[in-house]
Amino acid sequence: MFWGSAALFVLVGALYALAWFRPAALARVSVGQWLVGGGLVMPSIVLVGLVGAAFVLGERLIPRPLEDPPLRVYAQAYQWDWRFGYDDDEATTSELHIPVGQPVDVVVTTEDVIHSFWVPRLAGKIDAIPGHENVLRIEADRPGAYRGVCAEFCGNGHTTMRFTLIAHAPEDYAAALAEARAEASR
Amino acid sequence: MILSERVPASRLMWLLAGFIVWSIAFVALYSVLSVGCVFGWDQVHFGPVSVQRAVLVALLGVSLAAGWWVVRITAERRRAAGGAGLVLRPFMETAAWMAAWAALASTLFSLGPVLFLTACH
Repeated sequence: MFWGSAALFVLVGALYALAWFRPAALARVSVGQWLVGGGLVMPSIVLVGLVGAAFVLGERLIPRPLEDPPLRVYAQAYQWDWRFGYDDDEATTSELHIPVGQPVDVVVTTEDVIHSFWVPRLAGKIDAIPGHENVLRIEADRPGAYRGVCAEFCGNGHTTMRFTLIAHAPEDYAAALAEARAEASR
Repeated sequence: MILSERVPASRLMWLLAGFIVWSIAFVALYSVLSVGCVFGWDQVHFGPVSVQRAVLVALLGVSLAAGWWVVRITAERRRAAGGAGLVLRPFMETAAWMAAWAALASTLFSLGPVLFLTACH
């Protein structure tokens, strides 16, 4: 995605520079060729690539049954913050903690208005709908902090409704989660 | 310069017709997808395919047929007005014919994935 947009940016910059410094070079291309090439062929290639990627990623986010059921975590959205819960304890945390290198099902819900759970670097986005539990499957490849946002306008505090997802190495996960719970209960 | 030629509404309508079909198809497929998932149509099988898939593919087929009908009508209207080849004359009839083709391609591109993507989860 990044390199594709960088290539397009360079292409447009190069065309602009040509139009400025070597207008005769561009004048050889007819208006019809510009229209068909720049208005039809190029956007078609970009759109087919983006839509194809969206289909593959979209299928990957579907929580299909696995032989070894994945870890489930719970994301509760409310105006205008998030709380995260886990299967083995009632305590919740303000940051979402998951282990690295394994699929995790995030059960997303809310009690007030529609929100949307989105961690851009993990590709997943799903709506939190009152009365529904939507499940999204995500997987982090490396440990670290990933920024998350509410991706559905939900009122005055929408723009500040952010959260952090922290991915831990599997051997550190239990201790990190226990520490986060202890901190939250203080 | 002021263009004073009066354009009958019917000529403009054919310019929009293809994408009106596309938008009706889009709303129909989107809503039936959600309704089918809520009612569990993906769990009921009709031969080798689920009822959900059969209904969505049937709707896609109807949409493509309607889009093709618009292409045929606009092509005929253009021919009757003296248009041929890829020349943009007569302008309105040619634009309507090209828009109908664009709408048909868009229907296949944006709604065709009901043939193979997961419908419900």
